[in-house]
Amino acid sequence: MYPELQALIHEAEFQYLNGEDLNKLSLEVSSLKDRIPAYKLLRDEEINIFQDIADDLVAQFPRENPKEIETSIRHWLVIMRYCSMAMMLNNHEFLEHRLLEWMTDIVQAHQSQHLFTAIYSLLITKLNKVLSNDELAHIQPFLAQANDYLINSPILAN
Amino acid sequence: MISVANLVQEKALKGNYFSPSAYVQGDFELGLLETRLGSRLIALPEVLLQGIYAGLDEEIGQATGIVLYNCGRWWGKSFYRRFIQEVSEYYEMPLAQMEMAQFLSCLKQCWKTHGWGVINFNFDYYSQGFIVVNTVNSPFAQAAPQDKGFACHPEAGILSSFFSQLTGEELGCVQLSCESMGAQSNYFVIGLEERLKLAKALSEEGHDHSTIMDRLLESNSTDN
Repeated sequence: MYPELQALIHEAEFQYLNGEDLNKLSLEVSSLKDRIPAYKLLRDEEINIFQDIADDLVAQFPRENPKEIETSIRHWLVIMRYCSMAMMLNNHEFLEHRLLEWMTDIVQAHQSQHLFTAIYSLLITKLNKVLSNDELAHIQPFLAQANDYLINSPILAN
Repeated sequence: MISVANLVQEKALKGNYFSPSAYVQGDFELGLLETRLGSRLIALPEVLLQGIYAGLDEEIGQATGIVLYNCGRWWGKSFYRRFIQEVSEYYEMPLAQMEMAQFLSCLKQCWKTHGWGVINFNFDYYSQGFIVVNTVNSPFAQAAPQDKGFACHPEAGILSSFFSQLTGEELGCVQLSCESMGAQSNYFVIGLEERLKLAKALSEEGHDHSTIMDRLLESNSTDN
């Protein structure tokens, strides 16, 4: 689950861990302590965060079909949940395998890239207000990974 | 106004059901390998697949392809039933409500997690009555004798019966290129048996898949 820890466990099969490895272990555990509050906040504020984004999005794209806006919001709700878990596990592969590689075709089939990227930037702006700098630094790489993967992957269906 | 509280309630917000680390479970002490819903999985060793090809060739020679195709059809029938059951249960919606893109994405992930290689679908010819499927890293093409003809009969059978059940039409599937013959991927075309006869004949004459597809579409437009 935790790639860094996994690597250390493998290393310990060959020898006692050295000082540097133990520092890594300690860093991994202590940063988990910071990631949990960020996770809790994202969990508790999920609806508030996304309600603001939905309202902004409707204002930004008044002619857009509301069903398409809803679908894009729903996609980002799922992405946010998986990013939050991936952040707790500090595991980018978790996010890729559990969500992104499956979701690419689904997102691209909707052809609402403009909504998708608009939500991403609204989300980052909103999280800047809700989370502390450290907390944002924990979650942002995962959100960027998701945005990049889902928008920039070639369409595999063809 | 959009209510996010309703969106969260309305539909399950879930990811990739077939992600290998979640899908392949088991009780190793009891020697069980299972899916996440508790259906048993078995692994087919490469030597067994090689043995199946060699044994069938020895016993029935040229009929090997037909036998494996029919095995695939049988396999595909159960595979379809189980796939639909698992997917609709997990995503909490009947098949009819599922978006096509989501359905196909699940099928692609399922195919991959079962170790059958990577599969892709092309619906460009759907309005003309054909579905094109490409696979790479087929375990069947790998285990079959190399350079001895197209070898993905089990997959062709699975695809024909899967899409027959999905569409409610009796469909066939013809393979038009094969990794065992040095091709980059395995190319299949699915359609009504009657319309695929030409593809089969042209393939036996040794034409490549793009020529065959062109001819297939031409004959289709003259038929209409």
